[in-house]
Amino acid sequence: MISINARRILFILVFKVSFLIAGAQSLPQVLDVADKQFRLGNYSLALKEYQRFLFFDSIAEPEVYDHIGTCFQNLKQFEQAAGFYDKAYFSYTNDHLKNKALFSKVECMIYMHDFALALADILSINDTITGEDYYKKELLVGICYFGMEDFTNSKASFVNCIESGDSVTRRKIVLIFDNKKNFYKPNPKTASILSMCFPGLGQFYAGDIRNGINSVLLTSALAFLGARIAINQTIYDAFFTVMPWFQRYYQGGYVRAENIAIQKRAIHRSKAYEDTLELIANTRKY
Amino acid sequence: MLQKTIFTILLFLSINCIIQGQSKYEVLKFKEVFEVHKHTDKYSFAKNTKNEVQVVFSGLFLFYKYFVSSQDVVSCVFYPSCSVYALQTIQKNGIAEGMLATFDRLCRCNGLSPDKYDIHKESRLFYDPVE
Repeated sequence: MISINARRILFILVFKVSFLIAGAQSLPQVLDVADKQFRLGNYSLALKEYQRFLFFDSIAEPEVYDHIGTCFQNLKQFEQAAGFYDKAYFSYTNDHLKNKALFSKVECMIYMHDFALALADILSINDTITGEDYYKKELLVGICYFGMEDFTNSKASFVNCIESGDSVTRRKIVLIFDNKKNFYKPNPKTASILSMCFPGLGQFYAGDIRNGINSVLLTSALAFLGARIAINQTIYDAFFTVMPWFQRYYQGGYVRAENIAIQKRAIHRSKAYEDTLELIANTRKY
Repeated sequence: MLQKTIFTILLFLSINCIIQGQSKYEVLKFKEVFEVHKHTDKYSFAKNTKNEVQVVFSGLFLFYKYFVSSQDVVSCVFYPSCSVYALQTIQKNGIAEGMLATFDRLCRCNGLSPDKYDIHKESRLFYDPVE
């Protein structure tokens, strides 16, 4: 049997020794854990470790910035991701890696719909790039122009994403972009003017029959009410009681017609864009 | 010999048409950039009714929202709008307290006290949810 004193001494010894052995995690160990989590795809955990690393060592290798950017991008925090890709871009010395970081930054800006800035960045890449980088650049430039509604330049860039020998696919892309219906129909201004001329007409033009009928019924009911009051009472009574309501729903009708047309046009554009990407993707090997 | 040469040329051309390096995924991941999100049923909460009173109020609300308010210009200064607020507060607090809260909300729907509310990010209107 061990006496109580001996137990106490043993406990204190174990306690002290464990303190002597235990030490804080070193910076390379933190980085190692972060890299491991990054490779496993645990971006949230990896990001915490990378940020811990940066807290103690403010100047890191470009790969660290690149990885932090990737973590933020995968967590859909594109603004922060773009900032770290930018740091990686200025830290890399190799041209290919610099371009890779810039492509990633531009991707983030595209996801944020900041097309003008993304285009300015992507066009800063040297024109002499070839191979994979060239096709990546053309794809991103095409998307930026598409987002800025410059469909002529977008078409040219998307066509450049296809090998010059593949004239069939190039022709298909040109046909998509040459079809005006894919990009300019229905015209929101036309829809709005039509609804101003006759309530509901703009909605019918934009292809929304339910809303068209709704607008016709509502405004004609108010017009009927106004006419009835004008006949039974006076025209001033009709003007002061029904006119504000009529004006409200008449105006609401043509504003809505314009919005419906904008929505429909966006759907057509989105379909044309998806078809173009499908065509480009089909020319890729894997 | 001629056949072999033609075959080699055709094989070379077909390989050349496939771009190395960039994968299908790297192209298709941009598909979502211009994706148009279709509106889900915004007023589905109005369909969860528990009793006859709620059925009547929800029915009136849905009729107003789909056939009248949908044709109107944006006139309410709050998010959620007064009609949505009314239904939510009646559903949550019962008819008496809900109607009082609705009258209170309608009296405040004038934009004269902008300092008292936060701005709702998406709609840019005053944020005043049911508490």
